[in-house]
This record gives sequence, C-alpha cells and structure tokens, in this order.
Amino acid sequence: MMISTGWILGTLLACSPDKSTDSSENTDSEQGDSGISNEPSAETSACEEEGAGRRLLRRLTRDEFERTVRKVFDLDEATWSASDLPPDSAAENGFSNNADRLSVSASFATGIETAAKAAGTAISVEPKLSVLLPCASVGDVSCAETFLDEYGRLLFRRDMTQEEKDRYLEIMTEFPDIDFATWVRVTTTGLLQSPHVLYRSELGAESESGVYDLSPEEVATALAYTYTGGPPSAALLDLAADGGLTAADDRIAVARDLVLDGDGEVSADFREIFLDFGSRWLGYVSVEGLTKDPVQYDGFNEEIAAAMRLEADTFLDNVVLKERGSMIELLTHETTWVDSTLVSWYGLSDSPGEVARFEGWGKGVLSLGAIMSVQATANWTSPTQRGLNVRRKLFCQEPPPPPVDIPELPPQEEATTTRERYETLHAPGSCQACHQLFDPIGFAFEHIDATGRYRADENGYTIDATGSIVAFWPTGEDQPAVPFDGPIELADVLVTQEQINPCFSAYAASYSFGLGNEEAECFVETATHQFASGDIDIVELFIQFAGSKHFVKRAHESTSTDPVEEPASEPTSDPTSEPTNEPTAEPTNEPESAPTAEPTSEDTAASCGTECYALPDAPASDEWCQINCLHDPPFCPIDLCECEDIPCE
Amino acid sequence: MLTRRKLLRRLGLSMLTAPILGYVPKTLADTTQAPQRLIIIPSLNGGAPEHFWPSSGSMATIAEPLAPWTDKIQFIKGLNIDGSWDHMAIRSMFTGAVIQSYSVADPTVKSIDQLVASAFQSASAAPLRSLHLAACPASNIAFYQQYGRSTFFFDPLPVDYEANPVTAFDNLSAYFSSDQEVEEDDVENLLDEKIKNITRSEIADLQLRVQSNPIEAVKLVRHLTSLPQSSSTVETVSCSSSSLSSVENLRGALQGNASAAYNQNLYSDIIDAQIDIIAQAITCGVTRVATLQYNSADGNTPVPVSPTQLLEHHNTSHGSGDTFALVQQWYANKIARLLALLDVPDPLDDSGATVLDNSVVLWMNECNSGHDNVSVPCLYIGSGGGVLQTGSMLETSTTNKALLGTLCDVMGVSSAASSHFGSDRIEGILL
Repeated sequence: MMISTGWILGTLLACSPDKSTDSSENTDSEQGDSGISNEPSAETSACEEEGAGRRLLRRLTRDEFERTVRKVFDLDEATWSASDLPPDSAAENGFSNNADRLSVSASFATGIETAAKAAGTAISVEPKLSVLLPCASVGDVSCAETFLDEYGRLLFRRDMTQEEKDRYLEIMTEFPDIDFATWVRVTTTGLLQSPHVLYRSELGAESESGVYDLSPEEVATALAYTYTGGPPSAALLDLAADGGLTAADDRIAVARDLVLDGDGEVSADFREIFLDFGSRWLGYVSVEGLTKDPVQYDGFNEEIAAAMRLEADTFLDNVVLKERGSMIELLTHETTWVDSTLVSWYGLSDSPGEVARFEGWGKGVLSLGAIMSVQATANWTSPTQRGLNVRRKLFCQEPPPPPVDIPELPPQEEATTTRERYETLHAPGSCQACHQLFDPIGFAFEHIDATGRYRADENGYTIDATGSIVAFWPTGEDQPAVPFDGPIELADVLVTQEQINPCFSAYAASYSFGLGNEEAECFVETATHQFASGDIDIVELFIQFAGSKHFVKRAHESTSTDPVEEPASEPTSDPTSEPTNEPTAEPTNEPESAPTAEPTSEDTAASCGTECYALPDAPASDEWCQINCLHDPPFCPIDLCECEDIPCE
Repeated sequence: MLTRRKLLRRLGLSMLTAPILGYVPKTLADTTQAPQRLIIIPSLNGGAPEHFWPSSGSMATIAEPLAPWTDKIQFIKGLNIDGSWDHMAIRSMFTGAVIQSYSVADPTVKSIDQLVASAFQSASAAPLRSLHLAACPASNIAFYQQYGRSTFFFDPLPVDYEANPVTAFDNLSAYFSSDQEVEEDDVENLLDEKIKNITRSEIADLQLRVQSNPIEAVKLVRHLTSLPQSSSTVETVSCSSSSLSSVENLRGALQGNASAAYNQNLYSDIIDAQIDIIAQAITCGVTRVATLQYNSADGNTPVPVSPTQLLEHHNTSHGSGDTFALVQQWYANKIARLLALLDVPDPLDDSGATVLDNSVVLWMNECNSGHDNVSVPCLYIGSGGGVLQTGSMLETSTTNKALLGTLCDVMGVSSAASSHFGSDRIEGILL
C-alpha cells in the first residue's frame, strides 16, 4: 500500500480561507508551479497493486527527435539541427514530455518538414552519403533496399514491412530521371516525417482479453528513450528480438547498461535526461530569463541567472549522479558548486568550484540560488511560494485555488521585514487557515534574498527564520507542529518525513513514462518501496523502473486515462472489470463528467451524497457551491458555501 | 503568385457561395461585400473596471490611448465569463467551455478564432488559415502551453503560438512576396507530394491499430490535418513591405533562439514586433484571423509603464486599481499601435473602407478586479465590415458565449459549428 500524495479533504475544508490569500505574488503562477493539483485525495494509495497503463502513441519531444536523427545518421550540431521545431507543451507538473500534451500540430509538422528536408540534404551529399551507404556509388534498387533495411529500421525502431519499403522504392520507378542521391534525400525527408518515427509506439498486440503485450521492439524503444533520450541501437533491437528483454531482471540490467558507462559512471545521455527532469521537478528551469528589480538587486543579470542554473545542475550532477545520493543527500548536502560569476554575486571569498556555504545560508538543493530566485518576486522574497514549492515538490500536496477577494500585501514601510508583511496579511481570521501550511516553511529561507544571496538581516532588521510544519501527514488531524529554525534545521526535518520518497518516485515515474504523477506512480510501487526503505539511491530508482510491468504490458484502455491493473497470471473472465484506480484529470477527449465528492469514512456508511448551497448574502450561487465544493480538489470557502450530507432513505 | 486581383476574385466568389455554405444572418448577407478580419487579444490578470468604462462620453484612464478611434469602439459592459472561475477562465473566455479549475481537462470544443478561421477558409481561402502570436506568454519557454494555461483551442489541444517575432516573420515571409511563379509540374513539387502521400498512407496504417483507442486516434487525426501543404499549392500575396523594422531590431537577439523570446527585458519590443506582423499579415490578406496573447493569466512579466517605473503585471493586479490601471493603459497603447496600422484603406476592398473598418479587434479580460469573472472589461474595435455597432457602450447582462455566438453569426460560422456557444445573442451590437 502506498502513501497517498493528495491533500486531504478535511484539511482543505479546514483551510478554506475567509476571504483572501496571498496578494503579493502569483501563488497560482506557472513560475515554479509544477504541483499535482488534480488528483484524488485519500488516505491510502490509489493503486493497490503495481499495474500496467494504457496503450499510447508518444510523440517524440524536440530533443528526442533531434537525438534520433543525430544518432541514426551521425550528424553533428553544426551540420544539422531541429531548431525550427516549436517548443514542447508543458504538463501541469512542469514536464514537457507528457504523452497527452504532445501531438503533431501544424507548427510541429511544418518544423518537422523543414528539419527533415535539411537532414535529407545533409546525408545525401558526398562524402557523407558513401560513408553511410558504401553502395551509393552503384545506386541501384538493391542499395536502396539496403538503405531502408539499415536506416529505416533504426528510424522506425523495427524492421520496415515490405509494403512500407515499397512505397519508398516506388519513387525510383515513378521518377526514373532522378539520381540515387536525390532518392536518398527525398526518402530520408519522408522517413523523418513518418508517424512511425515521430511516435514511440506503445500499443502492443492483444495477448488475452484486455491485455496487450508490447512487442520486443517497442520494449527496446521504451528502454532506449527512457534512459538515453534516443532510439535503440541495432544491437538493442537484436537483443529484443532474441527475447532478451522479456524478463524484468534482464530489462533492469539493460537499463543499467544504458545509464552507466563501463566505469560505472552515469552516462552523458542519462545525465542530460536527469538534469532536465531535475530542473523541471524543482522548477529552476525558469531561472534563466528572470527579471529582478534593478534598484534592489542592482547587478542581477542574465549571466548571473545562467550561473545559478549551472550551479543547480552541477549540484544535482555531483550529489545525485556522481555520488549516487538519495533524498537525504539531496536535501542536506552542505556544499555547493559555483563559478566565478557566483563567487562574486554571492560575496564568497573562495575560488570557483566546490565551496562551503555561509552559516545559516542553508544546505541541500532547496537553498540553491536558482530555486530561491525563482520562488520569489522581482522585488522581495516570497515565503508563500517557497513554502508551496516544498509542499508540492516534496509532499505532492496542492492547495486549493486562491479565493476571489485578495487584499494587498501591506506596504514595506508599514512593516520591518518581509515576514512581518506576510504575517500581517495572513493573520489569524483571514488567510491563515491555508497559509499556515506553507508560509512557515518559507520563513525558513528568509536569510536568502530574492536573488539567492545570503543576508544577515533585512534592511537592518533582524530576520526571524523560525517556523514549523503542521498538518503533515497522513490523517490531516491535529498534529504537533514540528519546529525548526532556518533552512538547515528545516532540511533536517524534511528528511525525516516518510512521504518525500514516494512523492519523488511519483515525479520520477511521471517523467519516465510521460504520464501524470498519479497515473505513473502506480506502475512503480516495487521500486518505490525499495527507494523509501533506503535500499536504492535515486539513479537506481530510475533503473528499477525498467522492471515494471508497464514496460512490457498494457491494459486495454481506450476511452479514459485511468491505469488498469494487469490481471494475475490466471486471468479472470473479464480482467477489465477489476477495480480501477481513481480517475485522473489528464486530458481526454471525453466530455467532462460532473465531479464527485471524495467520500470519507464517516459518510460512506450513512450518506447518500452531499448537497452544497450558498450562505445567505454570500456572493455565490447554490450551483457554484455545488460544483466547487464537490470538485476534485474541492474549493469551498466557508464564508460562501455550506455542505451537508443527504441521509439515505 | 496569388495577385491582389486574383485574391479579390476569390473573395468575390466567396460572396456568391457563402449563403449555401451555412446559416448567414440577414445582416451579413446584406453587407457581405467586406472582407472581414478577426483579431483577438486577451487581456489577462484581470482589470481595473473603475478605470475602464467610459463616462460622459470620455475615455477612462485605461482606454484613453484608444480615444482617436472612439467612434469605432464598442464597449460591452455586463459580460460574464460563463462556467468558469479565477484565471481558469482563460480556457473559457473564447471557447465557452466550463472550466472549474486548472486541473480539469482542456476544452473539447474550438475557440472562436478557429471557428471563424474555418468559416473564412471555406468561403475564400487565405494563404494562412490563422496566425497565433504571443509575447512572453509564460515565464519561460519551459512552460510553453503549460497545461491549464492555454487560451485558444483546436479540439482538444491548444493552438500553437509563436512567441518569437523573428521566427514568426520569417515563417510568413514566403507569403508576403514572391517574384517567382511556382511551376506546378516541377519535379521537386511532385516528389514533395509523393512523400506527403506516403506519410498519409503511414498514418492510415497506424490508425488501424488505434481504432478502439479514441485518445490516440485523435492524435493521428490531428497529425493528418496538420500536414503542410505541398509547395505547389502555397499561395503568396503581393505586399510591398518585405521587412519590418521592429522585427529587424530584434533579429540579433532572437534569430534562432526560441528561448530568448521569453526574455522579459524585451517584452515591449516583442509586443510591438508581433503587432506589426499581425497588422501586415491581416492587411495584406495573408490571413484573416489572428490572435495575440501577451503575458499569461498568472504571469508576472514586468511592464515598463514609464522609463523609471517597472510594474509586475500579476502582483500589481492584486494591488491598487489606480496603479494597475497604468499597466492596462500601457497595453492600450500597444492596441493603439495596432489600430493605427490597420486604419488604412483595405487593399482587399475597393469600397475605400479601412482594414480596421472591416475588422473586429476584440480585447477582453478573463477576470474583473478580483478573481471573479463577472462584468469583465470588454471592448471591440471595428464594425466587421459594417455589421456591428460601434461608438457606444452597451450595458447588458449576458455571457461571453452570447458575444462569441453573435460574432460567429456575423462572420459566417454555421450555427451547427458554433452551437457550443448556445443560442443567446447580443442583439444590441448588431446593426
């Protein structure tokens, strides 16, 4: 049984604000906003057993397409790039490889056509052509078939069927006047626009009612893109064809080979993948391009922002990939790595490289300049954003949306410190019900300004970095607050919380499988338990995902995005009738259905539904309350709406 | 090359055929000579209504930069974004879809820009179906079209936008001018068409494998309909200007650098360039539908309201209305730039009407002063070729869907295609 990652209904209702929430910032901002907001709340896991997901066509991301073409045709960046492709759409958790978000739009199709033509030209000129295809000097049909057998296979990640090859071979007969190099150019242009190239097929073939087995080539493709970001090699396809990827242990071994090089070091490909994951999970991917108030933060510029990005990447590289750290190391590692730009900006006396941090400047990844700068406004720090970031990224918890009437943050002259301004705004009786869950976490970082620098005081006033974490987990009932003073003690508290490991695993699975957190986490329960028990580190967690059933099987899931449990080895007469997981809010093409309330242990026995209505004189309608209070997640301000259970007759 | 004469002829043909393509209201049938355009500019992060609505015949602070076009502006007061809440309304405002939180599924209906573009294309195809540009529509390129934060939809995924004006202009340049006739029997074009046929066959093969899987089937349908036209069928329009100074000023910083377009320091220049591109594309008839999204619904892009004052968009929206009005006024100045460019004789219309006269430029908020969506600031400029009321403020109590449905009616969208907007209409803005 897995630890749930959603907010508890009781907690939400308890934190319903009277009127306002944070006025000073975009708490609902995409800037660093990568939380899970749409999933069912429950005290127990949505997935009781590790299962397999739905059949998918996963469109290649920009990076995956680029790596595919480079690897298959050995093209360097100077010779060819896919820079005309539009960016990939980001999912709610910030990842841009979500299968439901990626499609071939008109912009993408146009960009692919341009890139495909450029690649076709690049490989059809000498001496490149003869290097790729020695028979090109002959240039006959046999050589064309060789091209399709060799390069078509690598691009399609399977052997091309004869019918598929014939379509391209027909070009030679239909256009007898074109030379062989032209045929290679045109054929390559066509191959690279093929849906068999642009989509990673995870469709499989039905092996029994409702269960689909991915083909060996589909498994090889999934492994290769998950762990290298590129297509499977010919050797991996051969191994797959020989049955070498059927057993979970074999897949894990292959994954380990893809992730680690011969010396046991993390490969360059996986490093790139992990850093993309990490920057999006932690939200610092947006540090580049940040603007800060030029008066308060005089000198902050793009170069500093880029250096912060490099610092965070280097931290992850060293702590997670080189030193093979776990969540404990990630959150508590005491040093950081800075270049000369940051040595100057942070006011360090050290030389560039690995440096100790000031006393009170924090430790671990959360205190790094990139994250602190993103989780701040242009003018001041943001305890709310910083606290929310911890809730979202480490606990997989999402607050309800902000209410209608949001007062303004008190002016700076009316309070001495940022903390005082926030405490005034979110004082008891106003927004405290929700903000007490995250603002105090953010207060821990008040010694770090909006550009990542340590500050001993704030404009001469003493900084109070104490705080506490309340309503931790899992019941939502009153719990003793866990106190801390500053970011170092906060980090020490965080690593004692059991939910941080399954939460991280959910993000990692989401990234690996291109699905939402709650959908993906159900496929990796075994690895998650190993990770939570401290048996494996972060890199190994990713590797162990290869052993999951989702890598080889799919449930027949054609109309919704719900993962369906894989049937036991003795199939039931109707495997799909087994209970499924809670619905996700991933995009579907089905009409939205009315949300239903999450039943509690109390109302399941005697209640036949819940009715919500607007309070007298409240600026809301009964209909509005019925929809929002029963929405998942619910939004039910107690000064607007009231709900009551309908007893069963 | 598609000459103006040829284009005009095609437009003329569309007038004859339009009535049989679907329902066309009497108002349009009577005045359908005008080559209509639609430009939509969402104004996000709410408004400062006390500084928006005109009073005593005078423009309020926000709309003051639009005063030179007072007689071409129509305010609509009392418009509610139906079925939505908070910034989630960005997905409702032009689709009419019910969106109750960031996390619910995207609309499965088209936004009005897509409906009108289809109607225009059916009647008389422009070289480009529609143009979608943006200026810092997310805090970073990493959040491109982040789930829950898109504005325009093409069933079921968001419409792509181009945030880099240099890329946008370069992609359009082929439409703006071409001195070479395309030889339709050119071998390259035939090869190009051959490849596209192969791609279509391959998509068809794959469709057979996902017949029982509508989610994946939709991807392939979208793929199929997104395939580029063969070069032999790409039309170009003569247009004298082959470069724009606002674009060229940004070329050094933005060419080949998609992420640089999200540099907030370039925000003002990027908006200017995108407006210039839209104006040229719309004026020349390269497209007849365009959208421009500046900032995002919860974006905090700093706005340089004066050389010495930088106001963060979102944060300011939660503060004093007086201050936030300065932000909105700054945007109104950008709208004024667009209006000035469009207020020229329409090269597609021999009547002497201006492009602006033949257009509807819709500027609408997703929220009001708070996170509510009641009586959102809303105005449009241009009469859509003489079919819409202008020069006044209509006080009403209706929804965005009624406005969308009304605009669809006067722009030739069939009632079936716009049925998700419901049957309510705003009669008060019809001429």
